[in-house]
Amino acid sequence: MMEQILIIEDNDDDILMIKRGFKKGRIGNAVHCVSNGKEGLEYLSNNPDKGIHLILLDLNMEVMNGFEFLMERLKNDNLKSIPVVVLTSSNRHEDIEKAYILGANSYVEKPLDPDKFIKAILSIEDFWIYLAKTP
Amino acid sequence: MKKIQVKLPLFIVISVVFTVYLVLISGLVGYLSYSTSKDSVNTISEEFIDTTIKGIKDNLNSFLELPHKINNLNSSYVLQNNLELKEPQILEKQFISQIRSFDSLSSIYLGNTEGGLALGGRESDKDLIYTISTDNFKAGAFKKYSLDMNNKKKDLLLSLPNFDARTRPWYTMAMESKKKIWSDIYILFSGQDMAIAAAEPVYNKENLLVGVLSIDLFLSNIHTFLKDADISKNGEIFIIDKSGLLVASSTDEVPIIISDSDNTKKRLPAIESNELYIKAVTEKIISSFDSFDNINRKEYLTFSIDKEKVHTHIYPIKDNYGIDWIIAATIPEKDFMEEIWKNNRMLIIILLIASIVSAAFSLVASAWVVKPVRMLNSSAVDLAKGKWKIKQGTYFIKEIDSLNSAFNSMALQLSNALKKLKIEVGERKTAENAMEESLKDILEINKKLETYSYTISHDLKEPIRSIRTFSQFISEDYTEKLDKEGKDYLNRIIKASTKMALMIDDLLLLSKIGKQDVDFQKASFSEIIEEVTDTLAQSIKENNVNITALNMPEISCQPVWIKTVFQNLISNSIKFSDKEETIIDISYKKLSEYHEFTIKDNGQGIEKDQHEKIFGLFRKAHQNRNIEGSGAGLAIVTSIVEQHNGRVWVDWSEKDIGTAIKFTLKNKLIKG
Repeated sequence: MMEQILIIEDNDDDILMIKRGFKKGRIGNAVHCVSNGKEGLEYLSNNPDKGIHLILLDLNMEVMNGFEFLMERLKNDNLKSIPVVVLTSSNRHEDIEKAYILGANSYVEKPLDPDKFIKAILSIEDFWIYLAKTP
Repeated sequence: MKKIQVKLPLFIVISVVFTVYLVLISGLVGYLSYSTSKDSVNTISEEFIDTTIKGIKDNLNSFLELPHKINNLNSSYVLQNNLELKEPQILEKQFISQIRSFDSLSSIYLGNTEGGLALGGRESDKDLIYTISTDNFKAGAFKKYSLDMNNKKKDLLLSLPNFDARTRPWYTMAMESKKKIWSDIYILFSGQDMAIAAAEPVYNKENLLVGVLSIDLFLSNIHTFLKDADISKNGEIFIIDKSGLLVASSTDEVPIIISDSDNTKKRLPAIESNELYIKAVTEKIISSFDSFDNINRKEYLTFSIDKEKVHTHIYPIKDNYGIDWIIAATIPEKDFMEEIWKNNRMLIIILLIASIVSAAFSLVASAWVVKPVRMLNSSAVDLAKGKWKIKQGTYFIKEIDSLNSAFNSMALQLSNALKKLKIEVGERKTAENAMEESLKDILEINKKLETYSYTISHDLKEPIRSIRTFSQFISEDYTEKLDKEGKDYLNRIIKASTKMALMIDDLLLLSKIGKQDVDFQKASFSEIIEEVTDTLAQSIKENNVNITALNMPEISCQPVWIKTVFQNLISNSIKFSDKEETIIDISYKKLSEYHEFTIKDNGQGIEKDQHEKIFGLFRKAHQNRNIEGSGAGLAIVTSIVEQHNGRVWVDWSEKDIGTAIKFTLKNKLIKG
């Protein structure tokens, strides 16, 4: 099965929650996880054939945070074509604004309620994988 | 009004004011004195003329009375001594001694019934005394001798044959009238003068005429005292008889006309006089009174002669013996006006001198007075330039001296204050610098704190979410492996972690209020409330909530935060509702300085002792654990309302009926 989604997230709990969400959807295990932006970039450049359709990006990370990753992405035409959904626990206005300026395609705050969290993941899947047309 | 641009020195102003004042006073005094002097000179002139003429009349009366008195005397003398027919020498001696005694008499004589004459007399033009007698004191030869100092006959001056006193007019007139009379005025034989004779018939005890006594008066005597009266520089006096012939005048004109053809002599009519005033005044009298007979009392005329105004006083002169004359005194107005001008010239000169002197004095005096003011002024100017050297000294003007003292003390205080101020400014600057440093530090710390608290809450949220999520996962995935107690514990973990996450979120919110830039802008409150109801739409639907908000204003505020206020208050009302239908009424009232909002519900009410406590952090009015919420909502509301310089309180609450919470926002909030 093709790995359709790249998750860049350093919190194992969150990865587990996200994966659980996707498992409930149709994608199942077609996700790949890295723990920071740098690893994400490396993975993407090393595996251009994997067919990543969507990147879920955390903001607060060691080594290379989400903003730095977005900036690097803007320099690379291949990466620019992959939509990025920022999934973070921050609801700071300036973070939201900054993310969009740096080319994020959407910004989702991690819901506190587990049910809502799962719902949010399923919504992302619904929209970005099945509804929106991407390159 | 035009702006005054010329600036004058004080002493000039004072001098000018002083001088103008003086000139005005002098002018006023001069004018008053001129006008009163004109009046008074007029009056005085009239009085002077009156007095002068009265004097002349007195003189004239004495002059005219004297011969009649002497005739009286001589008449008695003749009768007592039977002198009428013999011893003319005795009579001559008597007459001569009388002539010597009375200057105004020219001759005294007696004519007896025999036609004889005894006479003592004085030549009109020289100081020559003479006698005339007829031989044997009878009609016949007439001899005139000059006399020496001892009354001895000196020279025979004239000798005429066939003189008869009884034919002379003075004799016949007196004899016919049988009383004292005046003769007509006649021209002397020599033609040098005119005379008038006072004649008196002398009767003896048998009432028979024994002779006629007579005294001649030379009218040039009247001329002399008229001339001496000197009524004014150009004034003239003349006397005429009722036929208009001149008797005498103050002029040097001799009132006698000598005919060119036959050398006869006639009296001069006043109207033919060569003297301007005599002719003109006579004409005026004739034109004014028609006839000289009509002048019976004092008259007064004002008219012009040769374009010069003159004043004429006219008096009748009469006596018991037939004198019936008119005396006229004329003075040109310029004579007494000259007097006024003379007075006024003097006055003007005096005032001018006084003005000049006082102007000079006022200049000096004002300079003297202004000097201390000037010194003070220069001190003040120095002070303004920052020169602190203060001129010491005392001034003789009390006010200026105290001004100077006040000024000096002010300068001293100012200088001290400035020194103090300099020090204070230095200190303040240091303090300000320190404060600026501190502020910078505080801001930095604040910033750090903000980031810190954000990070903390963010970091705290992560594990709580994990706790909650995985508890949920356990309850979902392993529910059959847990017994009832295990499930309960798991539920408690989920609830506690949910609450904690909410608390952290609210803390985060609370920390944000007031830390962001304050940006007041006009906002529609009905729109804000609409947004709130949209956000709470699900809760509103589920709890059957009915919200009314009528007459909402548009006012300046921070709309995002105000939305939070309404959201908190409305959701509180919903949360604590115990009714089938929750009714929330939002109303607005404009106060003088505040906007007041009331959120009234029909909930369970809040206990009185809780009214204040609920606004504290993490306080809840109800101990109902099932009601979700962090307990920070009203603390957040308080914080936001205070940010708007307003306050929030429980206005009314009754158990099971409802609660009304009010909050105010200050008027005219501006961006700051």
